[in-house]
Amino acid sequence: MKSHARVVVIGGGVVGVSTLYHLTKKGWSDVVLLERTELTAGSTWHAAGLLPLFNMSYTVGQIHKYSVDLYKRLPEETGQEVSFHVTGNLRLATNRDRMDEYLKYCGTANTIGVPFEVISPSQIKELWPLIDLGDGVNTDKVIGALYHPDDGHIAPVDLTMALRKGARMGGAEIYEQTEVTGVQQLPSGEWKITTNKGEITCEHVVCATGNYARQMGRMFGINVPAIPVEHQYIVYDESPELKAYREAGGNELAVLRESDAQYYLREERNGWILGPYEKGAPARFADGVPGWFGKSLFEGDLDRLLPHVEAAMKRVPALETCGIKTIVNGPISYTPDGNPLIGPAFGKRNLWLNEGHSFGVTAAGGSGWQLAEWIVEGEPGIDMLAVDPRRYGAYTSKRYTVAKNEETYRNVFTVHFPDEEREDGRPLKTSPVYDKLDRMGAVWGQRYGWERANWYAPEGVERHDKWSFRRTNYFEHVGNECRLMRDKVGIIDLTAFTKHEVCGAGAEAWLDSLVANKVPSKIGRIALCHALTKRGGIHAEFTITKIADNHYYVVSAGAAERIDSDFLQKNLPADGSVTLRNITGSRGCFVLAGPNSRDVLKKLTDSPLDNKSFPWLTSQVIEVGMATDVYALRVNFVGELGWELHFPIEYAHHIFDQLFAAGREFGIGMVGIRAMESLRVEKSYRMWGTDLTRDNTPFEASLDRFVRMDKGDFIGRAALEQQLAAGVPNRFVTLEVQGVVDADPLGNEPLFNAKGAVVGRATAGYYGHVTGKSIALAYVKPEYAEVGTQLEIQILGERKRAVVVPESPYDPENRKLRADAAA
Amino acid sequence: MKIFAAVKRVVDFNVSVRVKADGTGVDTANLKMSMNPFDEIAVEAAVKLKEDGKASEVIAVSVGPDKAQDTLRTALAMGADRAILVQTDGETEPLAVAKALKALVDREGPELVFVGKQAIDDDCNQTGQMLASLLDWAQGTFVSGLELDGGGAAITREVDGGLERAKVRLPAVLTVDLRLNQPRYPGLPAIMKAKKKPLDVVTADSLGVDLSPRLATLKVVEPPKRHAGVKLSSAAELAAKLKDLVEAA
Repeated sequence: MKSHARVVVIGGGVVGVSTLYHLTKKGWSDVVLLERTELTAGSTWHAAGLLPLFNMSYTVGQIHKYSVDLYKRLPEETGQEVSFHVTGNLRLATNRDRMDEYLKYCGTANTIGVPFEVISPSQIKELWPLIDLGDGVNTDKVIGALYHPDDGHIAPVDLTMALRKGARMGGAEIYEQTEVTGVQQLPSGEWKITTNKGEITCEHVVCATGNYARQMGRMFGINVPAIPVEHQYIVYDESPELKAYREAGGNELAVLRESDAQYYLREERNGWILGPYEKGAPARFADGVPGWFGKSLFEGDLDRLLPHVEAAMKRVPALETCGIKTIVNGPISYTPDGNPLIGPAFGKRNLWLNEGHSFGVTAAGGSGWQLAEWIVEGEPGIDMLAVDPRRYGAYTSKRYTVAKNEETYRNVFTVHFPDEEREDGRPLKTSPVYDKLDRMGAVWGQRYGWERANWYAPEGVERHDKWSFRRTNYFEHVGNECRLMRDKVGIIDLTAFTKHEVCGAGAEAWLDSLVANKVPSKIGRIALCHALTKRGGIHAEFTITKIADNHYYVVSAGAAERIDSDFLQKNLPADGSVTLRNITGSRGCFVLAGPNSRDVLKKLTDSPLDNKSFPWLTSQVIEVGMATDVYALRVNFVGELGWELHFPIEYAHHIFDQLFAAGREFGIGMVGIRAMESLRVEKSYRMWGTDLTRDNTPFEASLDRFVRMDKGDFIGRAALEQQLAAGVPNRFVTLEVQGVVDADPLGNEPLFNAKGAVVGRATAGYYGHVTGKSIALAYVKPEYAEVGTQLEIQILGERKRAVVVPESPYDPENRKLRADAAA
Repeated sequence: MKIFAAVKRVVDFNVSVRVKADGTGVDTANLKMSMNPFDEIAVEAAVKLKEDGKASEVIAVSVGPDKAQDTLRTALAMGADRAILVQTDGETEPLAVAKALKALVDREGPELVFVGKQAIDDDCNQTGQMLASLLDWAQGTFVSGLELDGGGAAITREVDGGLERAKVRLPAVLTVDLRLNQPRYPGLPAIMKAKKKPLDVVTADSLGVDLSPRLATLKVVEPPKRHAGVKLSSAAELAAKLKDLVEAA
C-alpha cells in the first residue's frame, strides 16, 4: 500500500468508487480507496438497481440526472457493461393530491431539463398491458401517471466495476481487505489513516462507508446521522403471463411505481422484483455494525409487506400466479430527511462525507461528481444545501435519528406536500414559551430540530393542517395573522435564529474580509451582509450588529447554524485577534412588529423609540420590563415598523408576558411562520437557502446595494468583478401571478417566455394576503427582468400569466419601516 | 397413502457463516435462516405424488426450535396438508431426529418418508438411513428419479460411477438428491392459505423420545484461508511453475 495519497476514500460501495472515479476525472490521480472486505459488500450488492429520475428536490434532481446520463456512457468509456435497462418508469396516480405532486415535480423537471410526460390511463395501458387500471370499487382507479422514458434499472455490481475500471484508468488505486483501525489529524491538517495493512497519510479523507457511517464518524470524532433501515424486496419466479407477453414481442415493461400503494415493481428474468416501503421497518446497527454481519441479509418478513403485495396483485394480476423465490432484506442507509450527506464534515478540516444514501445507486454518479468538484475546486458546482451534512446540528442523537429514519422510510412513497410536517422525534428543541404558544393554538412545524408555530388556530378551529399543494384549511387564518401584523401588532417567536458573537481587536477587519457588504463600524449600526463563495455565489446571510467596540452580534437563519458556524470557525484568523462564540442557545428572539409596535414597546422601556433616537437599521441594548441586556434591533423580515428583541434566554417568559400585557390594548397577537412567508414575499425579501444560494451571486439576486466593491477585498470579490465585466446572467424579480384560482406559486416553478422557452425559475412564492395578489420571486434572464415584462409560470401543470412588477409590492417606499412616533 | 416430508431449518445457503470465537460452533444468531434445500426437494416430491393422485395426505415434519414453524409454513405453502414440529432448543443430532421421526411415523402411519439426503449445515447424511433402520423399513438413498408402482417405488440413485436403478418395497424411507425435481416457489395466495393449515407442536417428552446429544463437539475451526495467487504470463511459464511445485512436494 502507498504511504501517501492526495485523497483517501474509505468504503468500496458504488458511492465510494464513484467518488474515486470523479476525483480522477478532475485530474487528481494520486487517490486511493480502502475497502474493509470487497467492493460492493455492504449495501450495493443487494440494491434493487433502480434509477428513478423523480425527485422533488432541485439539488437531488440534478444529481440523479447526472447519474443517469453518466451510466449510459460508462460502458463505452470503460469497456465494462453495466446492464442499464432503459425501460423508463411509470408512476401511477390514483388521486388528485398525487397528481398534484407529479405536476409540482414537473416544474422541477422542467427547470433541470429532465424529459417526462404526464400520461392518461389509456396511454398507461398501452405502455403496460399487464396492468389493471382499477374499477374504483375493489381497486383504486388509476387517473394518470408520470412517465420518464429515460431511466430504468441497472446492475449495481457491474456499475461499481465500471466505475472502478474508470478510476483505475485515471490512476486511482484500490485496496480491498483493508480495514481502517485508526485516524489521526496531523498539525499540517493532513490525516494519517491506520489500517490492518499499514499507514497512509493524505490531504483529504472521504467517508463513503454506508452502514458503517456512524461508527466511522465516531472514529473521526463526528456524529453522523445516518443509520440504516431494513428494506425488503420480493424476487418472483418466472411469470407465465409476463413470459408470454415478452415472447409475443412485448418490450421490457417500464419500472412501475404505485406510490399510493407504496411499492415499485420491475421485471427480472421473466419474473418480477417487488419492493414495498412498508410501515414497521426497523432501523438497524444504530450502535454499529456487529461482527456477524458480513455480506449478509436479514430474514424476510413477508407479513409486514402483505398489504402492499396484495395491492400489487390487484394492480398486476400476473403476480398472483407467480411463485415467490426469495425475499431480499438488507440494510439501506437512511438520514432523518431521506437525503444523503454529501459535503464537508462539520468542524473538521479536510474531512468529507458521502454517506446516508438510501438511493445510492441512483445518486452515486452525481454525488461523486459534485463531491470531487467540492474537494478539488473548494466548492461544488451546484447548490448542495439539500444534501450538505451540515444541514443537521448536534441534535441528531441516536434515538432521534432512529425515529426519523424509520419515519422517512415509511414515507418514501407518501405524497410530499410542500406544507408537510412529520411528527416523529418531536418536540425536540423548543423555545422557552413553547407551552404558552401551544395553549394559544400553535400548529407546529419543525425545522432543524426546532419547533416553530406555522400558524395559530383560533378558538374553535381544529389545530391541524390539511396538507395540500393548493390553498387549504389554514389559508384564512394565515391571512388574519398577516392583517394583524400589518394593521396592529404581532409577535413572531424566532428563538431558533442562529446567533454568533464575534469579539476582539481583529473582529471588524476579519468580518469585512468575509462578506460583500461593509460591516458596521459605528456602535448600534446594523448591516445585512452576505458571505460569498469563491465563485461569487451566496454562501451565507448574516445580520451583523455592532454592539460595542470590538463586539459584533451576528444573526443568521436557524437552519444555517452549522453551515455558518463551520464557515466562521474554519475562517478564523490564527493570530487570536478574533474570538467566536455560538450563542444560539443563550438568547431568544421575539419579533415585535406592526404599526402599534412602538406603542407597545414604549410601555416597557424608558429608552426613547422615536426615529431620531432609535432610527431604522440601528440597535440598542435596552431594558424591557424588568429584563436587562436586551438587544433591540430595528429590523424585521415582515416589512413593518418593529423590533427584533434578542434577550438572554432566561427572560423569555418575563418579556413574553410583559409584551402581551402591554399589547392587549393595541390588539397584540401571535403570528406564525406561514404568515411571515406571505409578508416577506410581499416585500420581496429574499430567503437564504431558497432564494439565496450558491447558484447565484448577489448581483443576480438584485442585491447590488449590499455589495461594496470599493471596500477592499472579500471572498468572492474577484468573481463578482468578472461577472460585472461579462454581464450578469440572471436577475431576481418579483412577479404578480394572474388568474390564480387555488394554487399559488411556492417555488421551483419554471417561467416561460412567449415562445414557450424556459427563461427563469421561481425560487419562492406565496399569496400576499394584504396586497391580495399571488406573488412569485424568481430568477430570470436579464432581458426579461424589466418591470412590465409578461411571462408565463407553470403551476401544477397550468400556465398562468406572470408579470414582472416593481420590488416590494407592499409598501415599495418602505414608509412603514421608517414610520416615526406621533409628535 | 400418507406421506411424510421431513424438513430442517438451517442457515440460508447464501449466508457465509463465522466460527464462534471460542471454537464451540458456528455463530448463527441473527443470520438469515431457511429450509434445507434438499428438504425442499423432499417436500416437492411428496406434493407431486399427492397431485398425481398417488397420495392422500402430505405431512411436513420437523425437529427443531420454535422458529422451525416458519420452515414448516413454507412446506405448507408448497402444498403439504398439515405439519408437526417436535420442538426442541437443543442440538439436533441425526440419531435423535431419527428417533423423533420414528415416533411420529408410529403415531401417524405414513407409508413413505421423504428426507433430504443431507442438511447443508452439518452435512451428516445420516438421518434417513438411521430412520429406516429404526423402523426396519426399506431405504433408497440419493434418489434422483422416482416412479411409484403397485406397492413399490422404482428409483434412480446417483452413485459415484453413474446412475443406479433399484426397486424399493413400501413402506420406505427415501433420501432425495438434487436432480429429483425443481422445487416450486409458492405464490402469495398459497402462502396465505398455508397460514391457516394445521400445525401441531409437540415435545420429545410427549413422544417418549430422548433427544439429548450422544456426540461431543471438540472444536470447530475455520477452513484455512486461501493464499494470494500468482499471475503468470504464458502457458509455458505455468507448466514450469507446476513442475517446480510438483518437485518441491
